[in-house]
Formats: sequence, structure tokens, C-alpha cells
Amino acid sequence: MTRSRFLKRRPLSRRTMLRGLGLGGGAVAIGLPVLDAMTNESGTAFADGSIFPQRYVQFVWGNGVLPWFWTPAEEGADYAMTEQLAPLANVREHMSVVTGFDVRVPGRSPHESAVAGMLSGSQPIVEGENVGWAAPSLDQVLAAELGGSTRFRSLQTSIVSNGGSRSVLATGETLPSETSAAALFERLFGEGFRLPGETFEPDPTLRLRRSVLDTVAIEQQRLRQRLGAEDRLRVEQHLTNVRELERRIARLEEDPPNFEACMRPAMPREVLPDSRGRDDLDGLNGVFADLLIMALACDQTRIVGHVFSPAVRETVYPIEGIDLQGVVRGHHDLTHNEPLDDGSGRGEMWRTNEIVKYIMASLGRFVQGFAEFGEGEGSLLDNTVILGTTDASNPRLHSLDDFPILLFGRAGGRLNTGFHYRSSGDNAARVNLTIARAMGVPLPSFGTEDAFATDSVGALEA
Amino acid sequence: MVALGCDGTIGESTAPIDTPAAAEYVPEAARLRRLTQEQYLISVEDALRPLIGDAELRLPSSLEPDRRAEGLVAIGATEGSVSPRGVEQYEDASYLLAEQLVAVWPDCGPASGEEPVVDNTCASESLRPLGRTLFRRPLTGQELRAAVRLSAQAAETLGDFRAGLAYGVASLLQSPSFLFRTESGEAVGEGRSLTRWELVTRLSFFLWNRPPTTELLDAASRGDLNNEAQYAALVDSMLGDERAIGGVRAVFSDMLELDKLDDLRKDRGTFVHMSPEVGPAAREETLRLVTWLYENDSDYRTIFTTRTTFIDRTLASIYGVAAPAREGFAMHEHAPDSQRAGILGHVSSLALHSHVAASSATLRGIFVRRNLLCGEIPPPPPDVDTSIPEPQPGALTLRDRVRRHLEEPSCASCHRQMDPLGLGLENFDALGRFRTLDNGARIDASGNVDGEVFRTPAEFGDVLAESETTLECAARTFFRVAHGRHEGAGEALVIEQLVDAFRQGDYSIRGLMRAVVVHPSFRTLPAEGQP
Repeated sequence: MTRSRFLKRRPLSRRTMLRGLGLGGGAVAIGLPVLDAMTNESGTAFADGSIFPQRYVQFVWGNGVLPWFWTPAEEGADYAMTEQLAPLANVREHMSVVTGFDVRVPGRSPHESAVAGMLSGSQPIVEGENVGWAAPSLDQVLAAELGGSTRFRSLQTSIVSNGGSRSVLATGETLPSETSAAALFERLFGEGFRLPGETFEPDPTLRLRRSVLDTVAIEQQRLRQRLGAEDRLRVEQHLTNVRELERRIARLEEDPPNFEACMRPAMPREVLPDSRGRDDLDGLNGVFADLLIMALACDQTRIVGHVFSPAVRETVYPIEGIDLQGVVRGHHDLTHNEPLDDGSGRGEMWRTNEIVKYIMASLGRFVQGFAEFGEGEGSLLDNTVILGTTDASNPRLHSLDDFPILLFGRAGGRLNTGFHYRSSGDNAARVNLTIARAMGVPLPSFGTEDAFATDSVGALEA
Repeated sequence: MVALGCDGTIGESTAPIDTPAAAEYVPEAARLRRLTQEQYLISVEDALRPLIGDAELRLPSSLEPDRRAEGLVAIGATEGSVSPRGVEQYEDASYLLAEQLVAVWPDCGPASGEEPVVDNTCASESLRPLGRTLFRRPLTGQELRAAVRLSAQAAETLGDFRAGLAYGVASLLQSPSFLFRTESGEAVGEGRSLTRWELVTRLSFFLWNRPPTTELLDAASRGDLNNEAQYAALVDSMLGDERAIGGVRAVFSDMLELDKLDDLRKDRGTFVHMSPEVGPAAREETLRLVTWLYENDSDYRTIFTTRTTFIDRTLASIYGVAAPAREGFAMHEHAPDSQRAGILGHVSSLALHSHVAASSATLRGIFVRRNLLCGEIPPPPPDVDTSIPEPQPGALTLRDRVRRHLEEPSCASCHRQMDPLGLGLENFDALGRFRTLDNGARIDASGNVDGEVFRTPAEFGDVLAESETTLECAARTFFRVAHGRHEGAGEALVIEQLVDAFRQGDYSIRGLMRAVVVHPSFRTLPAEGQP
């Protein structure tokens, strides 16, 4: 039979070959002019007059920070970088260091309570080891509002196989992460993807696939009649996601958004673990960053939930010399069991500190990729908010106070960057509200119960 | 500081067996169950293999991940939906499979390039039996018409009958009736029971971990499952079939979390024996042991005491014993005085519930308490420093370093549920190698299971084998896997009866599986209008 579903492979375009961009191999800044054509045909004139959409990226790492090495002493623009923030020096001008906010949910479930509280303003629902959240994560709140016009409502990625996901739907369900860069590449830029202006033969199989999905959806509607209330919700969610896929396929039948910076990236390189079996987390992060940047630049999605490292699971960082008594330890184990002072003169919990610094260096390179990627007159980061956060402030105590929050990007000029803002114990959900409003989503409030917030943080707003 | 409730109750919210109020049996509703990844792959292989003969069958490599809830993947399958990514994966998989199928199937219909390209009779005659296999029940007229219509539409668009039929096949593979098992039931007299199709499906997935065969569907169609004697005979023949190995492996894999071994990580600097092969090999060891015990109709309790096991070269090097003469697994007998007895001496238990380089009395204790004794342990409260002091003179062994767990009342209320168990396995390091010294100090591996004292890992196994709680937990676990949920308060009587049957059958694994499926609860649902 004909392999009808699949389009013939086109040769890579010259632009693909030009894709030197890569955190993996030396970032190249590419500033491209805005073409006149962009401003109309694809309908990308946004409410604020900007021609670029606003994007949100959630970057979550595991197991907190060490508060005593984290918080700058000074506030405002002239703060001195602390030990753990120093690896972010390359993106300092794009960053707001936000401290002093408390995550106001009960700390019933170590690691889970804090990240659920930070990202959703609500607490996790824990039954046994089954974890759901009482409210959706910020990325999914935004995806519900902003995701409808892109091919993917949102993307979930994790650079490690057990990284999990911090993207939670209003139903409490966690969306799984893509953990393979090759699979992510195929999903975004494989079959069916077209560059702006690229000619194509109409593919009749796309319409047929939509017909099949439509039939499936009708069956789902029939099935749901016979079910109890909870199962009905599950089938409805499945139905929603089937309709979403229909919509994604329909998008492929239309002309792609005319974004000049969009290019088909090269197939991601394979990143191998070292001889001790430790993942090259920074390398993996670079490969994922390249793909995510292009996913946003091509307007395949505007919302990304990215997990750098999981909580609790014992990630071993490829950092030499952090063995404890000759025994290598996972990050979580170290946060709890590393001696405060081991007499080496290297500072309190210096091994854990080295790990946090490694993570911050990776985050710095991740953000730098966005800052160096040209879009219009400025950079992709100008039209993006990246929230960097974690699942504890002091991981040894699983604490929720004075939570580590980093913001990057200006959301089309609506946010200030380049300073340290310190609150005195205010509600962290106000930061989420600030981000949502900067993204053009005028939420009346964010969070529930003690975390309920109705005011954004004015100091962060431009 | 408040100590969270570790009052030692077994089986969490479920009422203890001897509560008089629980004597009345109240059935609970069943939930929609998504096929696990393994069940999906077995299902499509079972459905397609007879149609494509010896042709190679490429199976999808990524599917919606399984999730574990309330301790079991079988319960996780009854929660959550299909994610946006999962819908894409099932769609991709459906076309991957459908295109392979129509390359060699069916025998009827116009060949490629032949006109007319639409043949609804052939499409209908082909999709009807395939649909019955995939949906585990006959297709409704509406469902069959929809699939045939899609096939015709696609055939016209693409100008090819078979290319069109692939879309009909793909629609069946994406259908919720394939991806989910419904257990809605039908009214029977005053109450409600699984339909014959739901019953044969639940039976087949529990006993074989695979969908019902054509023969089983035929038996259901004839009404054989409603006749007690015929049903019992069918169950016995299924338990005697080699496919029952699939059911046994699934139950134990779920109970012992063996699926997690795919992601086993150990520091290769510390453990020269560590490699990506260790996790899968460790799972295979445990599954081969339980399979062997099943086939010999052995006593369930043997899994805690036997010195017989099955190892390959990877495991032999970790255990420090002679490797099998050939590639692959071979039976191995540990020495009679070996401390390695039963599954607690397996790498699968020891390595999975340890840190990357160090053993953990807490993780191992939680494993034994939750998975083998069906106890519950809440997470540690917030704002507690849970650090374990580093080894130092006078406190070199893990037992000495975690002493505080059992001395401070706030820690002890929970930790006495796990540490006395986990410390009993300290003779095995984080990979599962035997040792007598920890940081140069002699290991004391004594402990107790709720007061029953042991001195060594082997004695630990003996104590578990003698424990009523262990047996009751096995009955609960088998029930939970079969039903996809925990037993309710109104089902205490069911558990009691399963334990009785287990005992009367000399604790045979086969006997317990049989007891679960012949018990009336296996097909009973709450009457309409009940919660």
C-alpha cells in the first residue's frame, strides 16, 4: 500500500543548515528584521500593538536552594550577587530576584506542598502516593487562556527520564513530560511541520485523520452517558484532548504563522551519561533549550512547563569532588544528610551548594539562549516570561517561607528586570498574578484559602 | 511538634477484620480502567498476530505512561485520563499498526490500483471480528457502520481500498472502547453485576494480564460464565494454561514495584557491578521465582524463605556465586546457611529501596511495611530536620546513626513502623551485595516485625512467612489488582473469606487467584442508586 499518511521528506532548507544556534555548541545571536508581511497575513497583531505573542516558560528544579547562600543583602538594582546567584551573572540584566514571599499552603507533603503552592496557589491532594493538585499550575492557567491559537496548547518537557512534570490541569491531573529530545524534535518539527512561506502539496490524509478523531469523539460522547460522575470527567478530559489533536491537525492544513525567526532546527545531538552513569544535565538542558526556543519562535506553542531536575529522586550531579566520605550521594540525600560543617573550610553544606550553583549555571545558559535569539528588533526573551523556582526554600526542612523565585524577561515591556525585590513575608501567589497580568491575562485573583491573592506585585511591573 | 498518626493500623482506612459493624457486605463501584502499556502492547499483538502471520510486527515505542496510585499501577489505571501527548501517541500507534496490518490483510477486497476502490462488504466482514477482539465484545451496528464509513471515505480519497481500510482499523485502535475497560454492569434481579463481556475481560486481565481470546469471548457469548460449574471449570483451565504466567507476573510486578527497576540508578564509581542490565535482570529474577512457585503450586510463604532462585551472569557477580554455564537465567540454590533467603534477598528489593550508594533502613522499611504488610506510613511532617548523622567513632553503623529515629517520640511513632524492619536488611549494601561490616563496624541485623523478633535476614524472612499480616496483605493485594481499587469498609468480609480460602488451599498462589475470581464479589456491583 501507499504510505499515504506520510509526506515525502523534503530536503533541508538552506536556513536549516544555517542553524548554528545552540547552547550545546556556542550560541549565535541572530537578529532578523521584521518583515512587513508578518504584521498582517498571520494576524499577529496583539492587543498591546506588539506583533509578537507573549510566552511563558516555567523552569522548575528539584530540592530547593540554601537560603543563606541565596538571598542578596541589598535590594534594588545595585545588589551584590550572592554565591548561588553568581552563576546567573550572564543574564543579570534580564533577571528579577524575588525574595521574601511565602508559599501559604500547609506543608503536609514534603517537596510537593511547596511546589504545588508556588505554582498553583493551592495544596496537593495526597492519597497514598497519589498526588494531584487542588488547582491548576500557572502554566495551565495561561494555556487555557492563551494556548488556543497555537498548534500545541502547551508543551511539557523534562531533561531526565524520571523528572516528572509540574504542569497540572484544573482536574488535578499532571500532564506527562517529553523526556527525549529526539521525540520532542519529531513532535515539533517532524512530519507535517512547515516553515513560514514553505510551499507544500495539500495532504489529504490530514483531513482523514480528523475524520477518525471525530468518530472517536462521538464514541466518547456515547460512552460517557453510561458512566459515573468521576469516570465521566475522565472521558470528557480525554474527549477534550482528542478535539485538541483535531485542532492541531487542522493547524497543519493552514499556512503557518509568518514568523521570520522561525527555522527548522537540526536534529538534536545525543547527550550521553558519563562513565559513572551520571547524566550531563547541562548538556541535555542546552539541547532542550534549543528546541523550546524554536518551538516558541515558530509559534508552535506559547506555554512551556520545563523540569530541570526532579524532587526527592536522587539525581547525581556530574560535579567532581562532592562525594561524602568517599560515598557518592544523590542531591536529595545530600540536602538532608550533608553535615552543615564538615571542617573542610568550604562553607556550610558546600556540596549541596555546588549542586545549586550547577543548576543556576544551567538556568543562566537556558535564559541566555532566549536573550540571544533575535525576534523583531529585540530578542525572544523580550516577549517571554521565564519563572524559575523549585520545591522548597530550605530543603533540609522542606520549608515554604522566603521562597526562591527568579523572573526573566520583560513580557513585551510590562515587567521590570535587573533588580532584587524583597517582600516582607507576602503571599507568593501575588507573583503568579503579576505574571498572568503581564501576559495579558487579567485574572481577578490567584490561589485559594491562605494563598488567595488579588493584588499583583507593583514593584515588578514596568 | 506533632507526630502524625502512626498508630499502627493495618490497611489504612479499611476497617479491621474483627470490627463487628463490617460484617455486612457492601459492594463498591468499579471505575473505568485504562489499559496499561503492557496490556496495550499484548492486546494489539494478540489481535494482529493471527492476521499477519509471520510478518514482522513493529510495535509502538511510546505510549501514555502508566501511573501508580495507592500503591498499585492497577489502581493508577483507574485514575486520570489520556493526556494531550497520550492522544497523539495512541494516534501514531494506531496508524503504525493499521498500515502494517493492511499490507497483508484482509483476503477480500480490491487489490491496489483496482476499481472500484470501495468494498463495504469486505470492509465490514473484516472489521467486525477485529473489532470484537479489540473491544472485547461485539461491535454495535453503529460502531461497525462508522468504521466502514471511514474506510470507504478514505479509500475514495486515496484511491486505494486497503489504504482506506487502515483508517477504519485506526479508528478502532483509538476508540475508548479499546483503550479503556468499562465495568458498568447491568441490572440482575435486585442487584447489579458485570456484563458477560465485562466479566470475561476482568477475568482474563487478572488471570492472564491479557484480553480475552476468541474462545473466551465465545464462552461468554454462550453464557458459560453465568453457570457456576462451567465458570469454575473455565477458571481452572485458565489457571492451568501457560498464559496464567502473565497474570502471576503482573500481580507480583505491581505488588513489588518491579516496573521501577527499568530506571534503577546506582553510582558506578561505587559499584563496579552496576550496569543498565542490572535492573531488568533483577526484575526477571524475582518474576522467575514467583513463576516457578506458581507452576509448582507452592506455598506463597516460600517467597520469603526459599534459597532457590534464578540468576544470570549479571546477578551472579553481585551475589558472588558461580555464574550459570550459559547465557541467560538458570536456577541457583544459595547455601542452606546463606543469609540470602527469599525475595528480601533479591537485588530487586534491596537495590530498589536504597539510595544511589548507601543503603536505607527507612526506604526498605517502608517497602516491607507498605507492600508486604499493607501498612500505611505518612510522610514526615514539615520543618523537621531529617538528617542522618555521618558515621563517627561510636556510631559507625546505620543502626547507630539512626538511633534518634526510635528515641525521640516525635520520630519514633512512625519510624518504629519501618526502621526495625529496614535495619534487618543492613547485611546487604545499596546494590544488594552481602556484607558483615558497615564502615568497619560489625552489623547487627536484628529486628522485629510487630514484636516477632529476628536476628538475621534469613530469620526476618521466616518471621514474615509466619505472620498473619503478610498473608492477609497478599489477599488484599490480589483483590486490589483484580478490582483496580482498595477494598472498601463493607468488603472486610470478602478479605476474611479470601484469607480463609488461601489458608485452606495451603497458601498456594494459584488457590488465592482462584479464590479472588470465584468469590461472588468478583462480579458484583452496587445496585442502582447506591453510592
